[in-house]
Amino acid sequence: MNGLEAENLCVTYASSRGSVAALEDFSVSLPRGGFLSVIGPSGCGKSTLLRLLAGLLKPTRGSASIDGAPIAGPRRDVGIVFQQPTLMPWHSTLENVLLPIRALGGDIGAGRTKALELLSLVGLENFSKHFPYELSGGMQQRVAIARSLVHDPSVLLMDEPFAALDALTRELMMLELQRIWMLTGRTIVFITHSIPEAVFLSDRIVVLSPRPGRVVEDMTIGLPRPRDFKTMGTPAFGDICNRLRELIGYPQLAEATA
Amino acid sequence: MRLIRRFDSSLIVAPAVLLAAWFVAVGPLAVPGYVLPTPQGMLKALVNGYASGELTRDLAFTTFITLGGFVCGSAFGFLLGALLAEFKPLDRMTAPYIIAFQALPKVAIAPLLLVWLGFGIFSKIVLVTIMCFFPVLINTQIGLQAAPPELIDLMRAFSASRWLIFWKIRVPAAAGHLFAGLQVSAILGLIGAVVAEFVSSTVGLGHVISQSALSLDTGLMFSALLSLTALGVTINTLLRMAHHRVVFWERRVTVTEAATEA
Repeated sequence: MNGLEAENLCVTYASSRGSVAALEDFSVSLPRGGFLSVIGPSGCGKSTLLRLLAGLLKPTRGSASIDGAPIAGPRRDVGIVFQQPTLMPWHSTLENVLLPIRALGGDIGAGRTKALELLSLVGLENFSKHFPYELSGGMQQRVAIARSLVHDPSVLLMDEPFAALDALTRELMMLELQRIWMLTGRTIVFITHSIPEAVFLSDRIVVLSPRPGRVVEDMTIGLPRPRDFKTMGTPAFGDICNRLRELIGYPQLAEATA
Repeated sequence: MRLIRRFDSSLIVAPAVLLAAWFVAVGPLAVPGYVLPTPQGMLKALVNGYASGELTRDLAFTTFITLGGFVCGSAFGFLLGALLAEFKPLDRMTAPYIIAFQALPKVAIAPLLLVWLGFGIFSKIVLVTIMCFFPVLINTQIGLQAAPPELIDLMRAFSASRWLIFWKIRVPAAAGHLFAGLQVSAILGLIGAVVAEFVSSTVGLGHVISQSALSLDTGLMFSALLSLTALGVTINTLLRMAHHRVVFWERRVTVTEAATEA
């Protein structure tokens, strides 16, 4: 059984100038516990894809399933991390991590234990009583990651989660995420603009074309795990990155010079 | 500590200059007493007024209608603001009426309220209520819509009920705006109270002011003005303190931001 299965997903938005296709025939199948990155230029429908998988948006055509169960609407086995931490500033770190449990009406006592476990997983065990404004951007994003895992989701959807962080924090967070992923064994769909980030983290990378998003390439990354910063210096890593740059960059360069 | 030090200089220098100017005006410049009372004259009127209980009663009355109207107006403002923010069609339907009513200077309907509701305390509380209503309405509406859309998406992705989203996310996110609205409406409420008392009253600080104008008793008038200032400053300070305490996570939303919408 696949962790994530998408078949010919299409999304068209109605606009004043007719219908606009955001995503066209998106198909992918990812085994349970796999790490998939979706990469592509701005406006290629990456965020549309995420909303689809979260059940917040219905596809115009096609279907998708998580662990064999079709996505028909909002579902409880999905965790989401956005570009911004989007924490509730009026609540402590712990209470922020507990939000999914409260929203789903789960057992708060058990949730609290789980939340504290996750906070130590992301290295914030001493910050459970702090408020978001007392934390750095990287720490806030870790809280958001802990929050996305608290209700034991099967799939983690991450929408450019490190895009708002500074370059140094970003590199550390890549290592962190790999560690968390290897420990928890979640299926992850990771949306990003960064080629090295995608190559570093993923088992699979799907490259989307400019709007409407179409799958241009679906490649498997066989680099051994766990990967570290040395991996990024290897020729194999560089080759994959270059291949991806060709796939993404050249059509746009051609357009620009045309 | 910073607050206290700032108070020290501003609370001593400015009044000292003012008082000096006052003494010069009534002394060497010989401004007549019916234009400007002497400081001693005002102090005497103030002490007499409160000792006899007359000004105490007026202050109590004005405070009562201000706070009564403030509580009612803010509550209605929040309720309608929440309804309009949550139900967009209702917002579209009512918008023209709300804009029109908002454009009307509310004090202008004081005489009408008198005709409709009588000379008693009720018509006065209603005027204050109307004055306090709009700033809270607008700020509630804006505040409730200011919640981060990702947070709302997150709640929706967990099939959270609208009610839960409203109380867990939208209301706390609106708290800063709400308090800014409350501060504006408290000031407007006091204006409403004084105007209501000008129009028809036998009690209240507004009544004292209009009566002392007729009798050219500026000492008494200044006492009433000073009382009004003290009342306004007290209400405002209490609200500011509550704002800081409740909305501890954002200390930048200021009254001026909200005032433009009133």
